[in-house]
Amino acid sequence: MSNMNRRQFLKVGLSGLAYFTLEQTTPKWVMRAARALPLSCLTSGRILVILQQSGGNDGLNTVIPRQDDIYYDALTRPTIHIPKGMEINLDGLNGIHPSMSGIADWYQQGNAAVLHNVGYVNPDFSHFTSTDYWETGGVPGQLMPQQGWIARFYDNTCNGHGDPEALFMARTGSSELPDMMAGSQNYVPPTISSAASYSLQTGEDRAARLNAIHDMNNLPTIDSDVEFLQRSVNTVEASTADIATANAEPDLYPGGYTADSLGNGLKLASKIIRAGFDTRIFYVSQGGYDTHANQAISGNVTTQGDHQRLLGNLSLNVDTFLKEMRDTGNLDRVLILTFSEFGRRINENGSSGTDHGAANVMFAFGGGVNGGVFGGQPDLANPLRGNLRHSVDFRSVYSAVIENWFGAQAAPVFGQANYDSVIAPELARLQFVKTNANVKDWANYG
Amino acid sequence: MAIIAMALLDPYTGPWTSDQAAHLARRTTFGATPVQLAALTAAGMSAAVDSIVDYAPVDLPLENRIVDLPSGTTEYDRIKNPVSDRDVEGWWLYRMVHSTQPFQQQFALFLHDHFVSEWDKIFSTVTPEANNGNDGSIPGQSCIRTSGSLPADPNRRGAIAVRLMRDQHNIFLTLGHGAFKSLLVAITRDPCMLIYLDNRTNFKTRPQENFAREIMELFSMGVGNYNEQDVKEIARALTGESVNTSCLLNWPYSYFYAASSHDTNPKTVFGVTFNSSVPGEDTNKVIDLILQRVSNSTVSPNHAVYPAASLYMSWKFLTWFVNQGIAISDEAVKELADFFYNNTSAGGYRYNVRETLRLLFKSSFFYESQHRFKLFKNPAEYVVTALRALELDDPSYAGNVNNWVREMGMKLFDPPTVDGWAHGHTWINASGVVARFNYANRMSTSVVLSDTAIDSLIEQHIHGYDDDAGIASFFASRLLLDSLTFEEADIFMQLFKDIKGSATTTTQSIYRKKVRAALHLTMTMPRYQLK
Repeated sequence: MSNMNRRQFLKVGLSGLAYFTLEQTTPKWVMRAARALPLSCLTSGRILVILQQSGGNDGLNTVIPRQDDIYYDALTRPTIHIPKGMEINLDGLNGIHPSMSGIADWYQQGNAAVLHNVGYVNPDFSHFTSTDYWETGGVPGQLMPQQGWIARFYDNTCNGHGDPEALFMARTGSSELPDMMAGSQNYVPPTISSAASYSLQTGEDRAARLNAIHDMNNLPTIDSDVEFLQRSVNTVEASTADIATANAEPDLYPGGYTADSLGNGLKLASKIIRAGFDTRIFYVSQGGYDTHANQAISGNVTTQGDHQRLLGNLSLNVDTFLKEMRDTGNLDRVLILTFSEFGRRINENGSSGTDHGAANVMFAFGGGVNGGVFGGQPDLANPLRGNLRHSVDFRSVYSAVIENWFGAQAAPVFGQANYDSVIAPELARLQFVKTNANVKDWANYG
Repeated sequence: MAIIAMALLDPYTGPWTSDQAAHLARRTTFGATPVQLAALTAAGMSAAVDSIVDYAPVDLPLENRIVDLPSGTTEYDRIKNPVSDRDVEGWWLYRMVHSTQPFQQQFALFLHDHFVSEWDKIFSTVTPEANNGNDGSIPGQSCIRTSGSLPADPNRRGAIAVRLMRDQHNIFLTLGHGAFKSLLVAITRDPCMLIYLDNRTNFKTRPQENFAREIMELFSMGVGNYNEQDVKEIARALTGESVNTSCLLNWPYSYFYAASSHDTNPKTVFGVTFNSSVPGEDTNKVIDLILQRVSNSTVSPNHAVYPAASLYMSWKFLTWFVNQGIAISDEAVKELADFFYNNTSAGGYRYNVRETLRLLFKSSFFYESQHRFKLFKNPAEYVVTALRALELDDPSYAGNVNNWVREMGMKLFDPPTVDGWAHGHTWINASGVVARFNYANRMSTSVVLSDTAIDSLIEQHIHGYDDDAGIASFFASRLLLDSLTFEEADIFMQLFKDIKGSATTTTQSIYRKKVRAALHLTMTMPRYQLK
């Protein structure tokens, strides 16, 4: 359904829903939501999907440096390396894990970019601290920002441009609001763990109860906690009908998504996009990458094990999502960006696993991507305390998305000094996003 | 180091009315019924606090109640004999609702959030072969056997995981309030924790740093008070603290000190070198050193004289019970740490948890108006408070209530990380709000609130079916332990008017609709999300 059609649906259609016809009044907030004006920022129609690989993904077994003898050395990864020839060749130098054939296909079509050696100075090995850096856009030695980098990006780009629709951003597949999206002055994105259960239930007297709940959560207040609660309730009220609309979209590839946080998250994101909503940024997450033990089944079946399962699920879900985007004419306006809080140690440990590391590989997928490998090859010969050194600051990757995908300013998000000294010099090497000129303008999409 | 003069933690001397008693109840006992609130008010501040913190190790009326539950119903069988994550979550929620000493449950929740173990890791560690009858009873047999002397039971694996979690929970219930050192020793040797943080595989030939790091970073002192070498040395000192996997006992996951795996070379922690030939004594020494370790903190000059653990734990108490915005550098943390470490008057030992909490709950700081309704209720509190306050029971704790609490973002016995839940604003996200409000709706239906319950609960408090003010204030007094503002009352009146429609007088059926809607609405109020 296009935007215009959906607006028509909201105006005309909602009063036709069964539960409202039984009542004397339509809840006031439904009327209000239907009257919301679109935001006059980020109007290009382009969409960013952040995909978190939580726990610290082993980049070296995800994108294998297939010409690097150190990777195959018996002292490096004797029991968990991907045997030569099992990887799927990408560009000669790099091969992808054999469980990721779906993503390999998209690479061959020019819709996937590999970003090597991404990290930050003085890497932290704590899951919590390192995740904080990636989510807030802070780095060691500087004060940890109180807002997520997306929230800062939003405030900087959209403040003063009107009220966002509730679904301007969304975290799908999980109930927790990621720190990346938290802390905006004006906007709390909804989190939808399950589309099917994302609706306010009322036993009887539905309109009367919903109106009272709305009024109770909109009384004037000077208490910041109450104000926060009110905003959260308003977000719910303004988004449940939209999610129900989106959830009615069909699955184009039944069985193409796994029944977990990542699969549910990408599936709902696809439906929201296909239903024609103006959502600009999604956040989905896949857990389980903290593979200290049994990352692979040692011996001659190292392509099996926990890591194989995780990467296979990643590939399956991303592949289905991209196919649904392609089939509905949306591929050129979506960009998926993956991240993980750190990579893992170059050498395996004593339990067929790997310990916390530093620099890592990221992916970008979609029609807006310049396919290829960016950031150079990982340098296994020159480790930092057993870990890969970074040559690309993760904030530069974010900045490339902000500037080249959204056509907005990155410097205010990460600070002018950081931008000038670290980010700007690296951007030239990070042309993985098609610039505005290359991508069809989606301003009047629909 | 001398005991400093208290200021913030001086005893509260202001008026003691139901208002102050309500604050105490919201923070410590999942709210209160009118009878309970009246008792706390009548007792006076000091006796009220004593009546809350002086709980018995075993809640006998609760245990008897559970023994007396009828057998043969799925719901009660799950609560009496939990064999899965769903069951044990319901098992605990039922106990929170029916405890006769609810602070014991509240503090167990604090400790569960502090000394985290996660169900997923525990369950996946228990061998699936347990279901085939392996009871570990044959000497010399590996635990990983495909069969054994017991009949096959598809629930045995789950039951073993539940028992591991319950044994840990029992440490919280029985030792949580005593000497913090005893608690640390017990947790270090708890099979559930030994599995969760991998110390069971911490051997001299292959030291494992997972528990050694967390006992300092998260369980006692906080970051900044040790270096990476201290982590390695503590790991060496804790080698051999393990669980029995030789199956010499009927219980294959019992605590086991593997003397042959213990590193017998000297260890140096915080510059102190030690090495004991007495089994387990190195563990004792490590915990003593941790508890004596003076803070490296530079956040406040005064902090430098306090043991880091006294500051860190006091900060955790204060952020859980008083205000999440309290920083470790704050004056109240320092004062509480001073008492926690130095005061040995009751019990004769340092780090007396119960006496420290008693001091906190009797302090003027605790009752300052700036803290009122400034903590977010966690999902368990959201549900348990309402059921307790209204003396209602949900017919399905294991399978229904536990699912709602999960939807709100809290899977009991399975916190998201070793750092526990994030609390505060993170409880209030869109999916969490939907789940809260929908559980409120469930409570308002006859599933939980029957017509009979409405009649017996409320009719004695109202003056006829048209007493709208009586209905609204009833739920505020029960659930918020507070009165409604004029604006809030107005919204209730509009709600009742909408429900009543054009009828001139209220019949009993319309009255019941108003009562149900009022309960639903009260639980969606911002103040009910807070405590």
